[in-house]
Amino acid sequence: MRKMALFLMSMVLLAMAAGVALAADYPSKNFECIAPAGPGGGWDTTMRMVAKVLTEKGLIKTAMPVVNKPGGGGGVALTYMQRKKGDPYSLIVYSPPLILINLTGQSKLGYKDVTPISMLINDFGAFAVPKNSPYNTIDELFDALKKDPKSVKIGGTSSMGSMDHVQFMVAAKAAGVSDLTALQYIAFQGGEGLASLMGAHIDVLSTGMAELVGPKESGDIKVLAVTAPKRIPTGPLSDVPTLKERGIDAEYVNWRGIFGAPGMPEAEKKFMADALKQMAETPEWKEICARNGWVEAYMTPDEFGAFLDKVNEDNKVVLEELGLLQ
Amino acid sequence: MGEIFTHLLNGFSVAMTPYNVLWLVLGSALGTVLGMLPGLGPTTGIALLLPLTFTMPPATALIAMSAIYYGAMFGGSRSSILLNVPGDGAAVASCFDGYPMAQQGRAEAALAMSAIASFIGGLMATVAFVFIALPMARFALKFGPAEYFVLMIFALAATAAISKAALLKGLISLIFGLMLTTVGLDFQAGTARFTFGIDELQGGIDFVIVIIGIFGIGEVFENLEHIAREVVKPVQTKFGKIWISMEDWKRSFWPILREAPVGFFIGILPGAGGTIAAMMAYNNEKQISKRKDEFGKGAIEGLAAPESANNACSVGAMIPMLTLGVPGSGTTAIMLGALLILGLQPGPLLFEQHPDIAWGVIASMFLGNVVCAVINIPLAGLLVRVLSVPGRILYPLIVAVAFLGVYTINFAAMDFVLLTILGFIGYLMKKFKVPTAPLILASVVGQMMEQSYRQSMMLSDGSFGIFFGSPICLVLWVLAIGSLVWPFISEARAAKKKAA
Amino acid sequence: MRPNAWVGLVAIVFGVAYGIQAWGLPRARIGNPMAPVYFPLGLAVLMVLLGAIVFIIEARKGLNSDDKSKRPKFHFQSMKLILFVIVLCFLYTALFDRIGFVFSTILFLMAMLLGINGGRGKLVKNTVITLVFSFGMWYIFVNIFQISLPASPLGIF
Repeated sequence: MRKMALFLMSMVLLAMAAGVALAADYPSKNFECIAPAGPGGGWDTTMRMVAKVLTEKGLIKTAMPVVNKPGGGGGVALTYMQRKKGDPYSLIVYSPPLILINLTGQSKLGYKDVTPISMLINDFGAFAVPKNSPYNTIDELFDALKKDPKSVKIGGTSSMGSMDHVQFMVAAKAAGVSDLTALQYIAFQGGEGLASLMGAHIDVLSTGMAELVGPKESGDIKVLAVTAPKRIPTGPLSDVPTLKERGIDAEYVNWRGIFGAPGMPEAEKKFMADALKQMAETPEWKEICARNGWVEAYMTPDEFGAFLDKVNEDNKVVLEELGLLQ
Repeated sequence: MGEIFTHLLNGFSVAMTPYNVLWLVLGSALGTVLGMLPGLGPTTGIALLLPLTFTMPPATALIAMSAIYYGAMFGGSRSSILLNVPGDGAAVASCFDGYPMAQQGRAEAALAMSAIASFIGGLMATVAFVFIALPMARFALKFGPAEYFVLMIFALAATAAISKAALLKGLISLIFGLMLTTVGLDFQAGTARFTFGIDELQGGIDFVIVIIGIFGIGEVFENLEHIAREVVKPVQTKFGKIWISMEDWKRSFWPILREAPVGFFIGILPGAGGTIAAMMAYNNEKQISKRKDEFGKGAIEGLAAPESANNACSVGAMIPMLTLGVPGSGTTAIMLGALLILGLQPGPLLFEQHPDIAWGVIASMFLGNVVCAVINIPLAGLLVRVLSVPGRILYPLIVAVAFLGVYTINFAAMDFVLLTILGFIGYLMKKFKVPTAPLILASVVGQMMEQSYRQSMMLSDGSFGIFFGSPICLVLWVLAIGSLVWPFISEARAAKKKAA
Repeated sequence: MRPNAWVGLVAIVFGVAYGIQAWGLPRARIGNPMAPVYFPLGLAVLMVLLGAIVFIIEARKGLNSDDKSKRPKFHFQSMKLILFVIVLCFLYTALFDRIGFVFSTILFLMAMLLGINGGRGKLVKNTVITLVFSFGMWYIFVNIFQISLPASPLGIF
């Protein structure tokens, strides 16, 4: 029995020693990089690119295999991260759904249950109408909605209470549409939303801007506005006004950033944030951003945390008005 | 017209460069292998290839990705025929007659026919692609939520109708399949249904899990029963050449030609897909066949029709993505994403701005179908030997492979529980002779059916008129009702003939 | 009882249970509150209806007037084996994430092979199959396909 206790004690000491060593030469073992969705989507691509550049540029010397944990709009991976409390070797990528799934009650966990490390990129939404639509500007569309909230059928490529829905409602609210719950939002999945817009089955589509570039160039649709704070500088969407330019004081950022497990130690968090900052400045990363149409937007852990707090409050207001807040 | 041939010739000169041919062969082989493994399919294959494509020229990337796509269609039915374990929805209909053929010792003919029918179906669809891609894609846009809803009704009606002898039990099976699709997040309202607080269920029950459970694991349980009772099925020890007889060819020739266009058109519709195409093809052939009774008991045309249709469908599915920039399925969505990263914007302008790429890909499909057929016939000679493995060893391995394949869908071990339960349900359904085909199709179309119904009702402000508001809807209604009534008419006619 | 009568009965019971659950579903917070409920509720009604029709048809034929030799049979030794495999599947689910793909699959496959082959199985052959499959699949998936599978706490495999 005594022997046993002695053995256990020495094991504990050993583990503590290992713990101290860990902080000094972090990272000393392989990471687990989690994409909270299946292969091929935005989260998956971002995580894989980050892992690739970090290891190829030697910013992280240990391996960074990417693991897919899809489900529940990111909620399944969020639950999984709770099992990794304090572990500095688990990284995950998230974007606005992290906040939305919590506010709408889809997940009990939220952005407070992971550790923000760095925001990396921004992407924006856009609103488009079919080519022979009577609406030529976003104001005309919102004027019609103000007169008769049921006159415009709004489509989006994600479910009620998710990004495409909320970004339209944020704009509608700022434009002065009074009863947001009277607006008719129709949820589609994947490419069906765009197909329905091109077939003029719906009047307007709210979605990510990248999806609209092709049909816009071919003249099948008109893009009325983007949700970016500033006009997109180059490319086919550079002639599309922002909401602000049209006098609607609203924006909606599809931010994407890297998070650690809840309770990630300060020293390791700082190390990771620095590594990501250096990565964000490499030409390789800049090229990846350019190719994907991502806007670079690095933020430190503190800035990122404050940003999330603000976004959370903003979304809360709109969801409350919609009656979707849980 | 001449212009098209010039483009096509240029396309061949792009596709025939050694580098592109290399990737075409690699893509076809990878697709075939992934298609064979239950649970894995073209989506996994393309996602896998994704990091590599960033270093390729756009034409090569597109050629490799589309090769994986139709390669998986070729490979998907191997396990349907040999083991009654479909690897994917599109391969389900290949079980109906393919597996009985293998049981009768005609696996060689079945495997050969599946490759030949896929080859011809793919080739016909590629020819159609060359001439009518853009107008067809524009026509497909006329399908709005209401049209989709009626299309789903038609598909379900046709499938329920083929189990005529057990129509009521078939309908029960169908409703059960629809019930399975109500699990998960409801897109229109954003609320979770039947998830019992389990996060993993919010995404719904993936239909591939339903298919592998009901068919694959159900089949294993049924065979365990034989093993436990020492009723040992004799294993096949002698194998013939992988080829078909003249008689097989004659029986299958017209079904292959008739069903390729069906598959092609279903493929063009965004959101429909290989499962619907293959099921419809099977239903059509059974309905018009003079040998209805042989269907389900190893009629080779019952295998040829869905094989032709599902491969034609995979070619058709490329059309909305390439010509309009609208991805019609998860697989083509990933392809679209990869093309955007390569700086290529699919859409009508693709054919004007980058004719070499667009036509290079089309030309590669001609070559790719040949490559797939060439890979698959000798491969079948190897695979058929699976039948010489005794069940005592084979079935545990099938279970392990099925679990592994299912894991790659959601990366959640939770799905194993679903798979096991569905397997036991599938076993009971077989015992009580409840048809499983309606359940499978319902689990594929159910979610889209409900969502398109509710989308329609919102578009029409609650009026049912929208379901009768367009010529397409009306045609689909006629087809749906016709497919329900036709079996009874043809039976009555046959009875009359006999009496006369 | 006639086998089809059983099918009808199960359909009725399942339909009712599903219907009760459907009625208790959360209502939509925007638009028609009943919208998410109609479809499931309709399915439940149809299920009960179809089950009832099947049952009544069978009952009119006489519930026990059928040929008993044609009923589905559930032999004790078959059900024992199937149940054994089902329990193994559940154990596999529980172990998969905890001890990793390779080790859980070795246990799972070995147990299945031994259970199915009974005493007369060739132990060496079964072991070889199990090990080749578990390590082979790990190698193919993780190294060739680059699909990550759960690793064991040991750090390798």
